[in-house]
Amino acid sequence: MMPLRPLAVVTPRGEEELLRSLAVEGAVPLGGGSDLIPGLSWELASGDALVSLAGVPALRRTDALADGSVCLGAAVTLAEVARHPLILGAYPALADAARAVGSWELRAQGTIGGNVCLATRCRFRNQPPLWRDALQTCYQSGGDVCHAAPASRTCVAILSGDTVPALAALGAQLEIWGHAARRLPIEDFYSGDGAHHISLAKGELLAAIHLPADPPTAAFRKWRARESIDFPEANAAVSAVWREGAWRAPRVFVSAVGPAPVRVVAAEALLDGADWSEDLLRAAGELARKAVHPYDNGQLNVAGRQIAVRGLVARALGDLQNARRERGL
Amino acid sequence: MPESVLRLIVNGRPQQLVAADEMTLLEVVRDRLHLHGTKDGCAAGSCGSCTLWVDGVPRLACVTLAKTVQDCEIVTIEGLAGWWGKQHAADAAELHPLQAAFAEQGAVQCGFCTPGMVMGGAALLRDTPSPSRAQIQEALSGHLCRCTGYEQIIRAVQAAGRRMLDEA
Ligand SMILES: Cc1cc2nc3c(=O)[nH]c(=O)nc-3n(C[C@H](O)[C@H](O)[C@H](O)COP(=O)(O)OP(=O)(O)OC[C@H]3O[C@@H](n4cnc5c(N)ncnc54)[C@H](O)[C@@H]3O)c2cc1C
Ligand code: SF4
Repeated sequence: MMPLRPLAVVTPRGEEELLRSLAVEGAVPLGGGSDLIPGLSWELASGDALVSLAGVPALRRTDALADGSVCLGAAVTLAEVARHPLILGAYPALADAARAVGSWELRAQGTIGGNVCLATRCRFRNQPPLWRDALQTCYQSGGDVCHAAPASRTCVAILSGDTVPALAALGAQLEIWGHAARRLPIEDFYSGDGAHHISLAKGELLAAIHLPADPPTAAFRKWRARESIDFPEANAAVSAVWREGAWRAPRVFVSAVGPAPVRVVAAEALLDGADWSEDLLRAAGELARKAVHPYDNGQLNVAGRQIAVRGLVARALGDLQNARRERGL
Repeated sequence: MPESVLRLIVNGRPQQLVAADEMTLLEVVRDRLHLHGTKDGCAAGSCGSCTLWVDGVPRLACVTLAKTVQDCEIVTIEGLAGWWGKQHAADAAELHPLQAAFAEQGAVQCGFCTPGMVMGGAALLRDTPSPSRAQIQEALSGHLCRCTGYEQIIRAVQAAGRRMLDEA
């Protein structure tokens, strides 16, 4: 293997030490490293000091809070998310999304925080250095061209974390630590520029994810090249609340089709309070297809990914219907 | 260049060495401890051939920084039979039942993926004594094999699972 270039690995045990370590120039948060380490070795990521989050107890907790919400520490692994009784019980769509990530070993290592902050991906960039040498340096690597979207002034690399749409559909909030703590809905976390895709200032980190009390019913779907370990070529999650004989307040999110998740407002308007016939679900899927504009920088082709979006959304909505019938509503 | 004293228990034996911070667990195991059973394949988390156990959990050594597993117990393919023997005091094992099953079922051709497959499969059988075909496929989904077509590998896990249940 290519040895990593010299760097420091810092292993803080408490919150203060963590924030102090992250404030240093060149410091980068290290979750499980399942994306960062390959990224460093292919010179896709940089950092002089990797600050491991695993030793900070506050980041490793899954807590049910008094108000009924659940607080998930950023360093909880995806394997833990997928099997935690609190998650399986109230947020099964999140467990499904966590289980859809990579392989068994990757889920044992990868954290939910790393999944939400995961670097964007692109077929023209996620390649060994020698391969990339043949291409002009693109925006994300500090150049002034995009091979995927030559007319674009910004990088359009793909947000590939599978838990993102599930968390967005559930209405999750992110707790950020840094100079001051702040909280924001997950869908506001992504800038839309693939080269700087998350809004974290220097020294900040994602500390926890808050899942709401009384969550809506939700479902997650993913499309990828091989069913085994591949990154999503498109994924989607939907949620809604069954009240007085109809689905209300639907939320429809599609992701892995660009640098930020896409909320399909038109589909939500169509679905809210309506009779969810098969035709309606298909129409909602079609609205989702029209709302996304993937570029040719995934593994599979653009037309296929668009068609997949239509199917993913329609089927996820069907999953909600099935869940309702199973509960006898 | 930051470095530190690394303490690990590898295949039951305490090890102490000075390692640079950027060293992966794979480099420590192969280049410093000379345990070459753990393979260096893609070095990017994609092939599964570097799988070993960290505190009993199958992990990819190529994307694990050694310093982040300080004081952990590591089991590599070289130590699997020993680990198995210890679990079954009566049985002075030369091979873990899954290793024997791999040989019997022809689940090995070039052999490069085998150590990783066996470490993943053995962890599955430890936690799920009688796995379904789907469970085996899911557990081994991060392991690439370019020779066998996977069929014999799945059969080996099933055969080992049956034998382990019979002997339990
Ligand atoms: C072969 C392979 C297949 C994969 N398949 C999938 C897949 O199907 N779906 C998928 O979603 N992912 C996939 N992944 C990517 C990765 O394994 C997961 O996304 C994992 O959840 C990343 O988490 P981590 O803790 O390992 O992240 P790390 O590698 O530790 O970090 C990833 C990035 O996030 C930053 N970061 C980590 N934690 C925080 C934090 N708390 N606050 C701020 N920044 C942070 C790091 O600095 C880094 O930039 C795959 C990876 C490989 C190698
Ligand atoms: S989308 Fe364009 S700028 Fe971004 S990584 Fe790909 S080629 Fe580079």
